Formats: sequence, C-alpha cells, structure tokens
Amino acid sequence: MKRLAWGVLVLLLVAVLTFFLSRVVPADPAAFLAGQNASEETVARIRAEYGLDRPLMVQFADYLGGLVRGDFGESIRTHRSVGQDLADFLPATIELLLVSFVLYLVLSFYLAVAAARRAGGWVDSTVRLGTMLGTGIPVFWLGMALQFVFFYKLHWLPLSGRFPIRDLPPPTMTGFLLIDSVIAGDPVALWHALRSLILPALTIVLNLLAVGTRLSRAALIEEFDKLYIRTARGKGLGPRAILYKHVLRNALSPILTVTTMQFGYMISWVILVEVIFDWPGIGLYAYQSFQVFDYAPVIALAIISTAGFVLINLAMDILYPLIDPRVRSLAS
Amino acid sequence: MSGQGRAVIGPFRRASGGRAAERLLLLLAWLIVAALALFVFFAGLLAPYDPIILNIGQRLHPPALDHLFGTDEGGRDIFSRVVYGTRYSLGVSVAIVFAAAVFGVAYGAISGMASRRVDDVMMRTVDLFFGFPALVLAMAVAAAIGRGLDSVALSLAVIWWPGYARLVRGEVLRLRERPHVEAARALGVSSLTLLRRHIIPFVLQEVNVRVTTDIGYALVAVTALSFLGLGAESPTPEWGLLIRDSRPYFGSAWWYLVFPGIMIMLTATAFSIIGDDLAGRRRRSGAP
Amino acid sequence: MILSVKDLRIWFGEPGAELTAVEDLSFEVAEGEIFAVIGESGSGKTLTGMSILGLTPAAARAAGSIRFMGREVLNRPEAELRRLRGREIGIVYQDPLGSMNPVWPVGDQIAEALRAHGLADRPTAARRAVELLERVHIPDPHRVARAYPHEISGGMRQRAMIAMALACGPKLLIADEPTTALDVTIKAQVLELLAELRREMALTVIIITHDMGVVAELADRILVMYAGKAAEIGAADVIMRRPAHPYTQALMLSAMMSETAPKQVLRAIEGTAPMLHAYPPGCRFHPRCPFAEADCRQEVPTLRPYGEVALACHHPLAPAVPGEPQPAGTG
Repeated sequence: MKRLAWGVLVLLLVAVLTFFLSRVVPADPAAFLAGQNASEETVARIRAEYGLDRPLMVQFADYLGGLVRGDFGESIRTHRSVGQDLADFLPATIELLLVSFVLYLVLSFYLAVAAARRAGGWVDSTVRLGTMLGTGIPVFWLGMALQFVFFYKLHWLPLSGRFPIRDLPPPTMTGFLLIDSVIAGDPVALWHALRSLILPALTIVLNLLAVGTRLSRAALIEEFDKLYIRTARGKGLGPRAILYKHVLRNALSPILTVTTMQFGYMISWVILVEVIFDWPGIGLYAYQSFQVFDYAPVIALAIISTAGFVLINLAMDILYPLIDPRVRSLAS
Repeated sequence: MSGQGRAVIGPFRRASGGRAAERLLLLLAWLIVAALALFVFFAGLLAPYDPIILNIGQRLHPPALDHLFGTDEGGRDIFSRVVYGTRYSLGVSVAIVFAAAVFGVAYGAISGMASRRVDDVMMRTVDLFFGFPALVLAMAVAAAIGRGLDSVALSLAVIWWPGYARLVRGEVLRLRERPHVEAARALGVSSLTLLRRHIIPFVLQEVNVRVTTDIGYALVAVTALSFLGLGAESPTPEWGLLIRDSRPYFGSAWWYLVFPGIMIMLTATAFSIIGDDLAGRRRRSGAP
Repeated sequence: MILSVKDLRIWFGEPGAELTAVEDLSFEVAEGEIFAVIGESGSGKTLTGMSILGLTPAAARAAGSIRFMGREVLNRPEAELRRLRGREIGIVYQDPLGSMNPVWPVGDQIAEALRAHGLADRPTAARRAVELLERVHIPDPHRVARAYPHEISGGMRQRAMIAMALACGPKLLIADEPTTALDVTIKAQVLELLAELRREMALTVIIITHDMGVVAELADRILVMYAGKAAEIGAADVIMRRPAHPYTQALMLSAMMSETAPKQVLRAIEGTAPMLHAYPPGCRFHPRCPFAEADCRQEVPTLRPYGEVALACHHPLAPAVPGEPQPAGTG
C-alpha cells in the first residue's frame, strides 16, 4: 500500500510539473497553447476556455480535475480533444510495445542461458561483446540502419507505416491489427501487419537485448557460484535440470528488477521508433504536434507515460513476493 | 573428475585468453577518447573543410579521398562536420554528467550524513524521480522553455542527478560505519571535516567510474533529442542532427547515415570500456 | 572394501606451473564403518572427499585410482558419475542454509533426489520425502516438507540435508564438515543420528572434519592428512590413545583428547600449515615438528605400515608395538 501512495505522489508530481511547464513558464500561456500561427481570436478563445486569467491555484484545481476526467485539452493541429486523439493512437503504441517486449523476453532468455552455460566460451564472449557495442548504438540510428538494409537494399520489408497504403486493413475491433486480422480471418491482412511490425519491433528488441542480456547473464552466473548448485550436482542432477529447475528460478528476481528498469527506457525508445517508422502511435502523435508548436499533446504524453511507468512498477511489486518466498516471509 | 569441463554447471571461471583482448580493447578505447579530445580542441586544424559553408556543386558525393565521409545535401564535407560536431555532442554530454554528478554528490552526501528522518525525506524525494522516461520529460521541457542544447542539457541533468544522489548516499552511509571514521568522530571531528577528509575521497572514486560510463549514455540521449528536433538547431553540426538531416537521403547516400552513427557508437563504447576498466581496477585494489 | 583409494593426486594449473593439493594418497574404507578424514583447512581433505564423486572445482585435475565397490570412478565421464551421485554415494555439506535452494520447499528438494534417478513419480517421491524427514527425527515432518529452508532451524536443515543425501538408499555417505556450522547441542544430535543411520541402514560413512570431538564420538578408523599427504591411518581408538605421528599428537593435544599426557596444557600447534605453492622439502610437517631431525628436512617420508597403523614419519612418537621401547632418536 505504501507503493500505491508512492505512485499517486509521482503522478501528482508530474501533474504539477506539466502544469508548471504549460501555465507558468511560458510568457503567455494562451499563446503557448494556441500555437505559433494562431490568430488573435484563437488566442483569446483559448484564454477564456482554459480560464488562464484566473488565479493559479484555481487553474491548478481545474487542471487536476480535468486530468482525472481524462480531459487533456485540445490539439491545435487536429482540432480534436487530445483525449480522443490519444485513444485513437494508443493501440498502435501498445501493440508495438507488447510484441517487442514478448519477443525480447524470449530471445533474452535463450541468449542469457546460452552465454551463461558455457561462461567464458565463444558464445559468451560474442554475447558480451555484442551487448557492449549494443549499448553504444543509438536506437534511432539502429532503426534507420535496419530500414536501409531491409528496405533500400533488400526490398524485403516496408519502409514505414503500420499497414501498406494500397491494401485493405481488417475492420477495427480491438485496434490491434494483429488481433483484428485474426478475428476477421484475414491471413493476407495478418501478413501485411506482421511485415510492417517487424522492423520497428526489431529495433526496440535489439536495444533491449543490448542492455538486458548483460545483466541477465550476470544474474545467472552469480547463481552458478552458489552452494545449492553443488548440492544439486551431488544429488546426481545434470546441467540442464540444474539450469532450468534451480538457477533460472533463483535468478528470476534480479532479472525482474532489470526488466522494470527497462520499461522506462522503452517508453522513450518507442517515441523515436514511431518517428522513424511513421508508426501511428501516441509517440508520433505527440512528436508531430511538437513540431508545429501544438503543445497540449506533448504535455498529455508526459502524463500518460508516467502513468504507464507507475503501473508497471506497481505490477512488479505485486509479482516479487510471488516469485521469491524469502520476500514473502519478510513482508509478513 | 568431470571430464567434460565447460559443460558442467558449477562455479564460474573466466577463460584465460580474455586478458590480452581486454587490454587491447582498453587501448583502443583510450585512443578514441584521445582523438575525440583532439577534435574538440583542434577542430579548426583537423577538419579539412568549413562545416557550415554550403557548396552545392559537391552535394551528396560518396566517400572519397578528398571527402573521407562523403558530403551532405549542401555539399558540406561530413567528416569536417563530424569533427566540429564533437564539441557540441560530446561537450554537452560531459557537461550534463558533470552537472548531475556535482549536484547529486552534494545532495547524497548531505542526505547520508543527516539524521534518519531528514535522510528519509530526502531519499523519498529522489525516489520519485527515479526511472522517469527521459525523452518525454525533455520534450515537455523543450516545449516550455524552447529548444536548443541548453534546454536538452537541463532536462537531462535533471533526469540524471538522482542516480548520483542514491549512489553517494549509499556509499556515505556505508563509510560512516568504518572504523577510521568512527575513531575520528570519537575525537570530536566535525561532520563536515569527516565528510571532506575521510569519506568523500573514497566516494569520488566510485563516482568517477559512474561518470565515465554515463558520458557514453548521455551522448546517446543528447543525440536522440537532437534527432527529434529538440536539441541543437541547424546548421550546428551536432551528430544527432546530422542523422536527422540524413533522413531524406540515406536510402542512397548511405554514408550520411553511417558515419555520424559510427562516431556515436565508438564514443559511447569507448567510454563504456574505460568505465568498466576503472570499476574492475577499483574492485581489485580492495578499496574500502 | 567399499572404497579403495590408491595414489590419488589432485593438482591445479598447467604443466610447468602445477600446484599439487593432494599427493600420494592411498587408503581404504571397509563396508559399514565410519571413516574420519581429519586435517586443518588446506590439508586437502575436502578435495579428497569431493574427488570420489567428481565434484572438485573445474580447474582441478586428478590422477590415480578410486574404486567404489570394485569399479573405478576417478575421471569417469560426467554421465556415469551422475548415476553414482545421490544414488549410490550420497553427500552432505557443511552449510545447510546455503546448500539448499532458497525458493523451493524442503520436501520438494528431497523428492527431487528420488525423481532425478527415476526412482519414484511425483506423488510417491513426495510421500517418501516426508517419510525420510521422519526417519531423521524431524518433528512435524509434513509441515517441514512444505516449509522453505530459511523457515526451519539449522539443526533441522542439516538433518533434512542428510535425508536428501540418503533418499535413494546409497551405500556410502560422504559428510563434509557436517557439524561445523551447528551449535554444540545440535552437533551431538546430528552425530547420534549418523551413528544410528549407520547401524540401521548398513551405511558406510566418510566424515571429513577438523573437529576432534566428532572423531572421538563416531569414528572407527581415521586418516590424518597434512599438507595434502597422509600422515597417519589407523583405528580410531589406537590413534587417539597413542598417536604415532607428531602432527597427530599435536592435534590431539590441541583438542585435549590425548590420553598419553592427561595433564598436558592445551597447546596450539606453532606456525601455520604451508600453502600449495610453498611446501617445504622433505617431510612437510618438519618446520613445525618439535622432533624434526636432519633426515626430516631432506627425505619425504612414505606411508608404511607401523604396528597397527600406517604412518608417514621418520621418527614416530610411540613404539610400533606397545611395551617395546621408544624408537631411537625420538624425544
């Protein structure tokens, strides 16, 4: 429950921060929210609508109230409520994030195990060198490099977008193209959706691997040195049994910590990836708004991503005691 | 005996051939850093062309002897732009990390030496900042106070300092309990002097390691923000900006994408390797 | 003889830069007896025990012969050794908390021993685990089987480890410092348990220890090791009453176990055991031996029969046969 309080506090902090940034810092908040090319009338309208003449505390109360209701203001660019825009663009981002994360978990597992099993062997050395180089490769550069190889040179995969323009997407049920294609029983659509998903997901996955595999491998190797491994060998267990039944279970806890950290990174990366691949998610949405000085979406993105971050942390907190009985005992 | 050696899972033992390779890597890393330093201070001497003046006749030429990294859409020599860009990209990164470290160390030291309750409050505050999605915050800040490298620097420094605060506070707490500190305290030495003479020197060693590695990460973050248009502005030859500028052309002008990217990668990796080496040395020396 | 060790040598490092931890070690263990291997830390006793099952560190290499029930087991392929481990030879370690997987219930870990060798399916193994816990006199075995290692006491943990090692009914149990981490009262209980198990299960036990008390309680025969070599081997009561090797005597004196000089003051052995890379020439004990002579510094003593024991010493303390005068040249 302490954690919940922490989460609320963080959200509050972000709300205060974004309020500060959008209402207090700019010389003329109305002009700020109205955008650069707004006419006098628009600015005046904005000023009235948002109540920007009123005392700050009242404004803040309104602001908070609005947030709780899901009212993030209006986008100058799209002329719609930001909340509406977010709802429209969110599924694309979540689909990308989920697919990337699952793919990462699977690959990371195998890589870390392969590297740790024969620690010091060539697989291990390759993995270690790879992760070291990988942390230095910027995610945006990697995305473009993948585009270069797979689109410009090989013509295997599409350059950008979530679905080829000329083809027909499946009817929208969930907003997740993969699921919608399956529901509609449309294998062609599924194929197109997958093809478009590969490069953006791969970009994120490779970056996650670079950071996470190093730590997962270290966590695994640390377990190998532990005494209970010796006991397991004394019982006559083979290396595979020891690895899967003992080591993995124990290394799960530190690996989970790493995973939580990575979520923070992932949120940052997804914005870059969406920009590069024209992926119609909330990252691209906020970016395009930012480009034209339409700032309400940017502020909204800050709040949403913080909320996501807090949620993930809370989820991890719930998972921990389930995984490690020692934590369970401590807690009770 | 376990005749099959490696395949047995048991206590971990590092392969012996690695040492020489590690030393070679370290040497390479230092060479890269040295080259970067030269780029920063002697850009004028080392860059064959002016980084800003346009030369449309030469636009988008592939790498050749007279243009090592090729030219961009304005005919400018990319190698020269990269060289000049070092002071922006790397310079800002170093500034960010140092600023974050200075503030973080001060904060962490105070928190570590303070009473339980004060420490608690201070650390709770830090915890709030932890793990914040950096890019989003930077965007919001840039929206509010305008774009530019200074805006980026501010956002990133704010993101970065909690890490140092936590690190330093942890170290201070640990070192506080050390016999030599306890002895000094028993003699009536003030907290401030205790910090200064007995604790901070060791803490700084640890901070040093972190700073080195962080410069690489900060560089990646700075270039990412410039790529999004939040940071440096044209025609500043900042590396991230170069990659952004390459977007319309890189399909055919591969050099425009590749070389700035390699610079970022080499720099970040070099600092990472050096940082790792420092950490290893510190561990082995058995520092307190 | 259930176990025969001959000319065992265990070393580390590449040729030219070898560090030998155990050398020229030969001894035998009879079925059903409790055999104690004593020595200071660094004497090589643990390595010896581990080498029986091929559980030495990856960097260690071994030569010689170890025969278990007539079969050679030294340097056998891993797959073959795995069949041995737990099934025919069980092993118990010193630190029960560290030696158990912290995230598994105790019962599951015992059951695993059975299932690893295909001796039982899941429900049967679970039942057997509870039976085994009962066998080692753990109260409320059902609750303990469901508990995690950190939830039960040290004594119970050690007993659970013994249950784990004996789950498949092995003929030989190797116990590496089984009581070192335990309180005195618990120690006695565990030792009694081992004695009882030996009686009821026709178990042979090799105990590796530096604790004289353990030896006095349980051992039938003793092997005294020093700096990787055998100093003295023989029946426990003989050796404890009249140690022939100066090191053995010093050990007894330092634990006030000796009956030869009941009024002797408790004495620590001067100096420290030599490290792997710095073995002295000749007899390895000579720098610390109060009775050392010139030949001790030059010639390495070999293990030879000496009355009722086997001894590696140039100037033994006690006469080979009781009643005879002391050998010439001793103090």
